[in-house]
Amino acid sequence: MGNVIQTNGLTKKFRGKVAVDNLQLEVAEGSIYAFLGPNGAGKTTTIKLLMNILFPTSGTADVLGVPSSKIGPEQFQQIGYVSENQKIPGWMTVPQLINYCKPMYPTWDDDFCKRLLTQFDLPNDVKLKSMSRGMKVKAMLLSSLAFRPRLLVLDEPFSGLDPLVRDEFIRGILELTETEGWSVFISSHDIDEVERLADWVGFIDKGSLRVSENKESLQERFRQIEVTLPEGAAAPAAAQEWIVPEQAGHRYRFVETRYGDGSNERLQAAFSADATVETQTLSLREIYLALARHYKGEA
Amino acid sequence: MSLVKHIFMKDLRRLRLFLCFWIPVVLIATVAASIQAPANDFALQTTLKVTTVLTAVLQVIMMALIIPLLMHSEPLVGTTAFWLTRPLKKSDVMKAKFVFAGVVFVLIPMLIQLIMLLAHQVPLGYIAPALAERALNQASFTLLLIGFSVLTRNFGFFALVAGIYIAVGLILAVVVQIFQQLQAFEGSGAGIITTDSRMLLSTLVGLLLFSAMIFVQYRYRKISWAYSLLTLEFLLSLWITSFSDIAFFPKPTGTLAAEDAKRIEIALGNRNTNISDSFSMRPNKEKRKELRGNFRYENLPENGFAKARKVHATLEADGLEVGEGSGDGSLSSHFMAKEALAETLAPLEAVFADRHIYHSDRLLKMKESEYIALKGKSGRYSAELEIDVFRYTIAATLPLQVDENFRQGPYNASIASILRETQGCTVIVRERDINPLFKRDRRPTAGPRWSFALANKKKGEAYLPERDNGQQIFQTESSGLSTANKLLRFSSVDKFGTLDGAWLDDAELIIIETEWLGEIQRTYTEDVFSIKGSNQGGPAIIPNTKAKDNIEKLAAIELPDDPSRADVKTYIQKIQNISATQSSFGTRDPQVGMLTDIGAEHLDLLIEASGGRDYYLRRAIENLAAEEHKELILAHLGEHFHLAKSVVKFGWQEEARKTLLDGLKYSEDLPKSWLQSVARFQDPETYPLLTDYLIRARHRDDAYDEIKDLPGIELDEAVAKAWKNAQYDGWERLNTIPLALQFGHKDALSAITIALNDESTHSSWNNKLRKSFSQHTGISGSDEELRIWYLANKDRLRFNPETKMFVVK
Repeated sequence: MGNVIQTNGLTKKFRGKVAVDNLQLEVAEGSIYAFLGPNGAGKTTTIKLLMNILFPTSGTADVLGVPSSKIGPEQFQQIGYVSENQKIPGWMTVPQLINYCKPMYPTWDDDFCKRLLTQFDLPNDVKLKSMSRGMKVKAMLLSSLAFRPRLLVLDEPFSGLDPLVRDEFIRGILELTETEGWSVFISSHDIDEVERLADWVGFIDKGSLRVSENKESLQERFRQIEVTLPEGAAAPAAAQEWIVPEQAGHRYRFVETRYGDGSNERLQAAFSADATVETQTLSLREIYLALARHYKGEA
Repeated sequence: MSLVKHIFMKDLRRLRLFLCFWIPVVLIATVAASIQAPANDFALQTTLKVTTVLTAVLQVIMMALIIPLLMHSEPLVGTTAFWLTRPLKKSDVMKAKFVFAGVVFVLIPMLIQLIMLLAHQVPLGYIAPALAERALNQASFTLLLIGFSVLTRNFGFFALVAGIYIAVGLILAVVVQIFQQLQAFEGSGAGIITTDSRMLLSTLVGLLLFSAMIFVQYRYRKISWAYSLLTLEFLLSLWITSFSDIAFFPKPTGTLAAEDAKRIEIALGNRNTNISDSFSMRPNKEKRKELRGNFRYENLPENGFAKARKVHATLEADGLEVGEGSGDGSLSSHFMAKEALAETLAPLEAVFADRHIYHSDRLLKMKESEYIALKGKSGRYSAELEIDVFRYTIAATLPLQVDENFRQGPYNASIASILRETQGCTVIVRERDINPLFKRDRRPTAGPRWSFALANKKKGEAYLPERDNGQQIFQTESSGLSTANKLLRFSSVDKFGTLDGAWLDDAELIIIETEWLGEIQRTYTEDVFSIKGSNQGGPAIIPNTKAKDNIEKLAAIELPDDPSRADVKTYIQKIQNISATQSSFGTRDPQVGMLTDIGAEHLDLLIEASGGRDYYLRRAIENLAAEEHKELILAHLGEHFHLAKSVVKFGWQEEARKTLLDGLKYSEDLPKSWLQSVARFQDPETYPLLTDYLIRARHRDDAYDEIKDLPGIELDEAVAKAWKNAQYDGWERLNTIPLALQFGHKDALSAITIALNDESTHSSWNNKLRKSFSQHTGISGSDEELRIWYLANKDRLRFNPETKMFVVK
């Protein structure tokens, strides 16, 4: 299977200030790619570059095998895009929105649309501008899913969704990716939800992609290490793969980023024999936080 | 269903409420412009005019609301628009928007315009050009608003960009307008061909560049490119409308045959003795002086007249060559070539209004320094002239009845109302015309194209309207179709003749067309030509025309032997018509003798015709009046003040006492003879009336001369008040100075020094003022010396009532 998204040195500057810096990104077809990063890291800018809403300063991006600058109606018939910042046609009701969108998509599935309509519990007679934020996102999702897109691009899609819908949405996405081979590129702050959804994770900070990896291997690689040092012993100098080291009295902890076979022995050897080394697995959220703190500290 | 139609229908659904307002507004505008209110229903006319203006404004406002709403539903600016990530071709969106705007804002107004033009029975040949012009204007304004919309993401930004564009545009338009007005005043303005070409070109450039800007935004969404195009459009349009010399439209061709043109000869007629300032408000340009006068044309086509459009005149004298070329501006809409008009109306006797509007030619224009250098010197005058030749033609004669109608091409005139008056009538003629850009009549004009006269063939008279050519009221213009009610007032009051009911029963309205025949070029030279006359600030346009200039025409007028009263009336009218072109009059002029020849038996006709400022009639009346006319003259005294001369001559003041005293109460401009008559009473009861008159009179010096020697009259207080009142008018102030000095008003000396050192004071005053100054101070010298003397001594000057002298103490 090829990549639905592939960038090569993608860079965007706004009046000289770098927003996206030499981005090398690959999203395999059929994968669910979680694009994570702190506020202002360049997530939304990257997505807008991919969607041909913004034009890159340099570098290229291919989406569905087409350079992003050439993406047109043919590609958008296969791309579902939902963004929390998207301006919706507020004067329309949901049926009007459906009627407006439907002729644009040859693959529009009325049955699926009805199913989503029931599932999202959207009213028929309320204008979009009068709906709550969550309702609006649901309406956008509806109009972006009903044509069964090959690639779904979601920019902070969970904002305003209640937990039940969020859960249903995630399960629906998982089901569709499995049964229909959809690819999903999702940026979100809601890492707990993404963890359930994603099989690939990318971490962007200050416009640079720091990590882009399969979620399982990432979680295999990261471990929280807690060391209890003997009385009077000092912690050794932190190795390159140790991030966010902290010491409190005779307790020393850090995140090991290259954990694997033989790591336990290597760690024990790094401290005195009297030291107690404990190893804990990390959730995606904890890995995200560790990386975020690490890159913040670098700055 | 194509996506273009899909988007169009979506926009239609969204904007349906606005369209529910838009279409009625356009319909109301059309209906208001199509209805013809009765000419005497001013309330309905006002309502229709206000409705037309309001709906026109409303249409602009609604377009400025609807178009941004239409365009911002799929905005091209910003990164959050819904449609940017939907499978919509930008070209489809653009097409849908253009179709919507084209249908709603171009097609519908054109359709409604078509209905209006058909309702007004505009000839088919003019409908297509009028519609094309409307389409161009609507498309232009629509594209402008679309252009602003594609540069902005919402209405707020739209209003800001449009506001800045319009504000800057307005400021520059005002500057350009002032510049062009100045050019027009200076006679160097662009002609109609250039103006129309500029307008068309700037509209086309606007259409092209706004289209390009919109296309660029849809194709590339490059806001900087779009703003560059907007700026380019703005600057280019400004340049085109202000400075471009392009001429798209052909120069009109005349019908003047070559041999007729060859026969026309030019001569220099009268010239003004006043050298006037040539109007200019450019601070860095040296002031120009100009000499005005009249070129005269011989061998013109029948009923023809000519007007120099451009004069390039030079004067070579004293080793200098001065003069520059210039246009002479357009003629006033009230202009009448009276001789040609009278010739056209012959054999009817033309009766012109009492007030005349003069027109003169600019004979020579030069720098002020050149004028100073050549003042009073002689040299060779040479003028290259471009001359327009016109002809009056009687286009129609309508019975004087409401609804009588005349139509020629798109022009339509119908008699809308006739209001009979005691000695005349007011005729309201409804004029309607359309002059679309693509079929515009660009022939040079001289006054209005259509003039009117009220004729009675049985009586052999044709009256021309008061205020030459009448005035227009309730003029409206809707999409190039102009309608106006022309108020033509014909009156015999203060004129010879009686325009009464019987006269009007047989009256007809004559419609006269002014036709441009063609253009000729001539060179006029004169070997001995000098700049004579005095310098006068401000423009002067009335040429000096004397009776000797009219000798030949006067010689052609004959009084039949044993004339009837009708013959006498015609005779008087002919003399009056010829004399009306004069600006100076004298007792030795032949008109005095000619009118005196009428004889005392027709004195009543002379008095009847002497209501205006007719110098010759008054002299003739003085010559003919005798004792036996006492009753006739006293009966007319209250109306014709100049008859007071006969009252003095024959001592009829006691019989005229009431009329004389009433005149003192109610008038400010009585002849000296009137005051002489009252003074003869030597009655203290009349003194308050006389002193009140002195206080407010226009000629206080004359009034003072007549009453100063009356026994027991006290004038100190009256003169003080008279002097105070006279301060508010330049002429009255100068006129009252000698009187004020007689009574010791020191500020009159100050007024003299100011007036003598003021260039705008006419030279004829200077000697009189210097004499007064010297008479009351014993001081003489140059104007500057008098001023210095006065400033040095003013606080020490004391008035001696005995000697009437101011002395320094």
